[in-house]
Amino acid sequence: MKRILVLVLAVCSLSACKKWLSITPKSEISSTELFKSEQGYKDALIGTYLLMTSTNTYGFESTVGLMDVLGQQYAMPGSTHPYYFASLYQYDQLSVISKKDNIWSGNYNVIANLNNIINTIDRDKNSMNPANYALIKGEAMGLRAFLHFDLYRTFGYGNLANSPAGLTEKTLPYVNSYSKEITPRATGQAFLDSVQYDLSRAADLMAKYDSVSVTQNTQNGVIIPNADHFYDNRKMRFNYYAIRATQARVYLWLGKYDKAIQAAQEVITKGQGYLVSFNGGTINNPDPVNKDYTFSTEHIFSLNVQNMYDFIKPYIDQFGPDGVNTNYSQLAHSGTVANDLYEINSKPGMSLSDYRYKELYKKISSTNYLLLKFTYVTNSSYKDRMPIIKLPEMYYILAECYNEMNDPASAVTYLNTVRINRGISPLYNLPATLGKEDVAAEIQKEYRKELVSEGQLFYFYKRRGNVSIPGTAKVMDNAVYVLPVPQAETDMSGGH
Amino acid sequence: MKLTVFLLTAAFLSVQAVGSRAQTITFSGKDIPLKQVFAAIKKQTGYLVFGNTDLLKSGKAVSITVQDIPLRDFLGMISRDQAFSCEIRSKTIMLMQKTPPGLAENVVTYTRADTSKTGGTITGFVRNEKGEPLVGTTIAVKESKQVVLTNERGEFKLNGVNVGSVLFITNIGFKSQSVAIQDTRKKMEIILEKNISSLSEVVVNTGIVDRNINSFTGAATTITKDQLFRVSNKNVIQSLKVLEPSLMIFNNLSFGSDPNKLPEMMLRGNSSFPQGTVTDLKGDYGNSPNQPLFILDGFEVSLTKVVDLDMNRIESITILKDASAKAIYGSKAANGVVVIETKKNTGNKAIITYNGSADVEMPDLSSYHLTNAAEKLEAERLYGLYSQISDYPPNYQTQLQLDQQYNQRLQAVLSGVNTDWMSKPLRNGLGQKHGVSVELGERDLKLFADFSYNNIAGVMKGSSRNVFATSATLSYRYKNFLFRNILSFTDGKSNDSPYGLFSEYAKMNPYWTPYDEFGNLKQNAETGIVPYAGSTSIGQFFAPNPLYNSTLNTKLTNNYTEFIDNFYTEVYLTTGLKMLLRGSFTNTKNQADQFYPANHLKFQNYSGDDFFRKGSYKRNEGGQVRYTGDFNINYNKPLGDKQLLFVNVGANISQRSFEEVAYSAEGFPNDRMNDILFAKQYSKYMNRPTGSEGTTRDLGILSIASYSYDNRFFADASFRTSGSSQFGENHRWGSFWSAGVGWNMQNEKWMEDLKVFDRLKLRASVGSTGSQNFSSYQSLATYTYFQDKIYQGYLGAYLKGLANPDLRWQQKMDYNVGVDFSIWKKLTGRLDYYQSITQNTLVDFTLPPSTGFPSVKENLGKIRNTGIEAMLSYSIYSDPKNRSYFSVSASAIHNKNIILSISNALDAYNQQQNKIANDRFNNTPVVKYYNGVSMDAIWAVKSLGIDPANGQEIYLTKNGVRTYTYSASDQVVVGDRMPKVSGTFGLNGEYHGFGLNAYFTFLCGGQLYNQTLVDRVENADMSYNVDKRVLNSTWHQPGDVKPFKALGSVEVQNPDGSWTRKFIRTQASDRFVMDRNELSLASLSLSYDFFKWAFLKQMGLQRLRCAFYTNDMFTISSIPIERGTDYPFSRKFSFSVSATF
Repeated sequence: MKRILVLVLAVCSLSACKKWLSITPKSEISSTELFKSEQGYKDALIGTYLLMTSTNTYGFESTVGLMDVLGQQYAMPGSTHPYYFASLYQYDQLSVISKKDNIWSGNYNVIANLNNIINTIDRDKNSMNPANYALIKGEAMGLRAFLHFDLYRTFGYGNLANSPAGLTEKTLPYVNSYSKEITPRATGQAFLDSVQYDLSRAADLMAKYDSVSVTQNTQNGVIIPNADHFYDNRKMRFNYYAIRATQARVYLWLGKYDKAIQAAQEVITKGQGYLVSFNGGTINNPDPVNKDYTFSTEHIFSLNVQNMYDFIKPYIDQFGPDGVNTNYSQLAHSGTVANDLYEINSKPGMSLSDYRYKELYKKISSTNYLLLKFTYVTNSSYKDRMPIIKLPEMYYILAECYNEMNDPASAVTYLNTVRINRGISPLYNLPATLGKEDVAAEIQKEYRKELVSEGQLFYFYKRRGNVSIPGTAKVMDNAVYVLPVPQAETDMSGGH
Repeated sequence: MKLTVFLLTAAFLSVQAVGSRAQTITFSGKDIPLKQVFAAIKKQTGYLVFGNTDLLKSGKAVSITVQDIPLRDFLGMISRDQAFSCEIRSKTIMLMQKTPPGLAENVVTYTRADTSKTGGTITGFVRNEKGEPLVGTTIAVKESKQVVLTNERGEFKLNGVNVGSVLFITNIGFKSQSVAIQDTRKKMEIILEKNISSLSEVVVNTGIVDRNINSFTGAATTITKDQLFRVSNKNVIQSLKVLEPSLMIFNNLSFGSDPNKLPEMMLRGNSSFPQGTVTDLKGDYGNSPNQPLFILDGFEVSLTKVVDLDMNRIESITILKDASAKAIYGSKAANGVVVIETKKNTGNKAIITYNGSADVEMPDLSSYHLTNAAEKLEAERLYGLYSQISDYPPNYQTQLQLDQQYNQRLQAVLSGVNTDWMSKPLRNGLGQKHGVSVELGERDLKLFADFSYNNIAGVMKGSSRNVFATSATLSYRYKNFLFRNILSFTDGKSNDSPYGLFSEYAKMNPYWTPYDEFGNLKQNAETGIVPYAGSTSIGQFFAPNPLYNSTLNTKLTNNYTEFIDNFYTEVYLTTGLKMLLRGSFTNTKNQADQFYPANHLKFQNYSGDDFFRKGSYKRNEGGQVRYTGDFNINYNKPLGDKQLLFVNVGANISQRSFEEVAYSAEGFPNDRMNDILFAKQYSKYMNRPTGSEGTTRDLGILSIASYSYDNRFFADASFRTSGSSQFGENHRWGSFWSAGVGWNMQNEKWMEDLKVFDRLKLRASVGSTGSQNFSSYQSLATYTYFQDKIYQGYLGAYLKGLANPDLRWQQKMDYNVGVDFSIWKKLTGRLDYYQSITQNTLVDFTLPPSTGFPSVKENLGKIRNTGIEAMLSYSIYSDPKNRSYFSVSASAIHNKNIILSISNALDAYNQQQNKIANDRFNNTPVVKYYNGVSMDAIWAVKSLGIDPANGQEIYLTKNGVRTYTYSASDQVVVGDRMPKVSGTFGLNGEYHGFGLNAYFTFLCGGQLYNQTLVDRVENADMSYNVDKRVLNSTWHQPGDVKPFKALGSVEVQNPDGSWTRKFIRTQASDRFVMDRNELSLASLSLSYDFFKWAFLKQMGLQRLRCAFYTNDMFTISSIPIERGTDYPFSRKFSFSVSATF
């Protein structure tokens, strides 16, 4: 009897038993199973981009929807509008709560997915192609920092240069592990340090491989396995210049102008060689199929949002769902405000050739200018691209940095570059003699014109700490700029 | 001829069997004078004692302790050392000087062993029906008066016997036998049959090992086949529902008596939080979190199998309730275990049994109180269905149309239209059951085979369940080995009624007719108009005729086949050491089909592009394979005279995998094309196969030890270690244990002197068990691919949730104290007090969203169930000779459930529920979980009733403020769905072959939210039929003090003093929470056994029995609620015949 018992125990006790009790599901793939191959890492990485395309975040709310409503980008027709309360910064209204909370949970969900890749990939480092390892991990770490930084720009503090108290305030958790353990909320300083750390690590990993053209690298002797064309369109992936551009954003947010200049400069010089270039005039193509409304050659990082227009259409259409009645959900510009912004009355010749005024508005009445940035015609060559970081922003960052460093003259040159590339005649170049305040005002105008429906304007105001902004009489302070952290977060994390 | 002989024996034995109940003696004492001993015998049996008093006086005083032993054996024992012997002659005990000759055949005479005589030597062994050796069996040789006992292997050896000598073999709990020696060279094999009346008393079958009742500390109920059949011949669950109140199987008010719905049940209360369950899967592979574990012949089976099991196959059912009883099932046992043992082969003769019954189900609509045509029309008029309720000046065109509609309906009413819609889909279901079983046996090879067919016809037309089942049990004994194989096959087919939901009929207005004036079935019962509230316009209104669908070739079937093979080996290694090895294989396949043709009314609104999508077909296909094996060794060792030790060690292993796929197709133009092959395309909204899949593996090691001293004190303990693939990798193995102590007080001397208790067993146990009724992969981090999105042409995968490598089983600590008693052999009963604390209850723990996911499965909750269980039965009359007895019994359970802690784990869930409760269109109470509150609590806002001034409901906020505004945050606990006490009582008796059994079930002290009052009175959709109370119990005008709010709209005063007309929907308030006290006649049966009739013998019949059952005859309830909304309840009648050849 004893012998049998010993036998049973022996059979059972050891690893065989443990293995026998570990079962991998068929309808789903266990994490361990997926990461047994490089393909698995690729699939998981692509999965994170797909998650980012959710309409709750970058597919709509973080770009076209909530964030630009908060930036007062649109004319608000009345209280029946779905974003009415958001435009009044009533963060306790259910419609606003769910939208802002979705951005929070959506981004952290992507972060969890990224963390699982980042935490696992080092284990397989030796068995992976070094280029795949570096690029996958680099993209994942870069995105993790990018997403966290966007969360900070939304739920954290701005205007840090003037009110550094925001850095000592406990704000958001910087989550870098896939686990059910709750990450405590970090101070602004610690949080942004983590952002910078991740970005620089990502840059280190990718610099060698991603600069950015695949053919380019083969010539440099670095072989990137691209038989499956996995690295073909780097614009739609978090590439090396996207990292640098994000760094520029972060440094500017922190008021580290010299570092911001360095990063932005690299993007506009080297990046323009490999990745991006100013719109060559395709916007003027009379055939709407070939109109590049988002200036996609200028995308440093954009998302491939499938069937993007289906979701955006109800917000930019002239008519409601029945095709007849007024669209009460419209996100559009008021003609008066737009004309004012483009100085149509004061400088008639200047903006009439500006692509953004000429091509991106559908002026259906003197008060209602529909936005065409995300409009779509069947078979459009430029569909399904959601710009996340664009080249002009780098010029604005440079302009702002030089201006803040009391060199408005240099600042003006960067602004003029963008303006010329937007079709404004050099005759209307901003004079190099503009004062600091005027340059700042011009930069603000550019943000308002260029980044319509891209979710950046609110961050701009917040970063600058503007007390008043166009479009609202609301006194803008931290009560408005710092969106409340979701209730679920504060409740569940036990006040961490 | 052989058969006839058996019949006589059987009849004779059964008389004995019943008789022996009254002829047993319990006695204990030291040096008791014989006179006193016989006085006790007289008292206990009522037998007279005749004999020379000198014999008594000269006899030696007796020291003996016995319990429930047959009188004959007792007499043998006390006369063993005496100069007299005893003889029983028709209720009389005769004392005689010891003189061997002239004794009757069936009388055993015991004398001291006399080995002086010479003769042959014979050896043999004694076993029970199962082939287990019977230790301590008395073998007496009639001629020589020699007596020996069998040893621990059941063997005996007799010297000095001759061919032709007769041996008397007796053992407590078994029928005595006399056997003539035919050949002294041959080893004798004697098999004793169990004495039926004491069967349940001696052994508790735990499914893994048999335990002696006298030294078992667990709380377990054993129910015999006869008891099951006293209640019902329908199915096991139907009978258990009545016989075992701790197994709470409550009627489902929605599904009623649908034969194709599996009952939900729990043992001793609710101990799991509901998990997000997968719906719309037809197979039975998911887990219901509170369902007990079902063990059939040693192996786990599904509830479906139990429901479809042919009751005639069953030998006994044991319900294991406390830790001592169930801990051997470890991580699966927390919800209790129901052990079902099927019949194994018994005798050595060929027996054929036929069981058949004709069943009738009749709908029970007594709970419906709907308006008739005239009442309905009047209610509509009062409600304002024919007037314009708006602030605008009335539109006369509209009014004209409304008046026309009213007059049309009035015309119908006046011309006598009063359609009984509810009767349309119903019928009296006629079902039948047939079963044939064959028992064949030689000494070593035995076969039991049966075949059964069960056709259940539900009360809704077309709803049925057909089950074919066959099984074969083959056992073979070779030397110390016993092999047994049970093979069973079940084929089940269920059809759901093409008539759809019963509620579709109940809601139809009686002034509508299903047929037009030409007698053709209408598509719409009426195409009418309905006024829009708050405006002067009207809308079109269609009332689809549900009867129309029934004429179509709808197909709603679910088929399954199940094959089970159980293999069992038993080896006697040495004295008291037994080894058991078992294996089981189960393969189940199922397929469900749901076909609705294009002309089904559900596709009425499909137009334009959707036209070709009409008609739908959904098919589910699934299968399950289960392998299980276990191995046990047990050892029985008497230590000296008084102590007994029992040890069992074992191990088990099992794997279960299931898969189910569902796919939907659409576009079936014609209702004859009712195969999925005719589909035009996949369904628009379910355009790809879906399903579920899972594999779980378990391993376990088990040990049990039990010790008893002097049959008075006993203790047992068990320990089990289980590993399961379902647990997180950090907690793969769990340990479960139990410990129990007990005391047979009736065996104490002072207790014996009291002569009150035949049994008084006190027992207490404690232990832990687990439950793992959750989905297979909950602890893992898993990825899923995006199926509808690609990125730059690449596929992407995303994480489904957070992994929890710490996930473990739910652990339940059970504490149980109980007493079993029997007083004067008349009153028997048991009482148990229990408390169980479920820890590590699985909940969806709400996480801060920064973790990336809203929740993770965690072991957090703690739930306590406390309760009392009681069972009493009293034997009023007993005359075993004529098979006559009469007894009454009652049993009840009280269970209280409370959530001890869930911290804030379910906050998000509760918030979600509040949101639902706040929804203006929700009118069912929501379920919420808070610390210190019962899981069955009913949450609603306190109501002060209807304001007589304006007909609005006045609510009381949490702070006691009156308000007209409903807020879910004011919800408080206003009742508890769990009845305080539920149970049964009944009587059963038999008189000269006539049998009568009646069982009532009751429940009281609980509450229920009366949905009927909300749905059919207050929130009634006036376009459809309503409850009668709409007419006379609703508020009409200021000053009315009525229980229900106004029909239609009311004037509501605004804060500025102005008035507005509003429709207010009723939301969950305590106005509708009512006490639920119910009494049902669950079962009433009459039977007749033809045992006294001579024609049986001429026909070659051994036994013929007829029975008539009625089930669910009536239910009296304190709460006027509609029972059986989607499928009505039924009253069941059954006539059954059972014949044995």
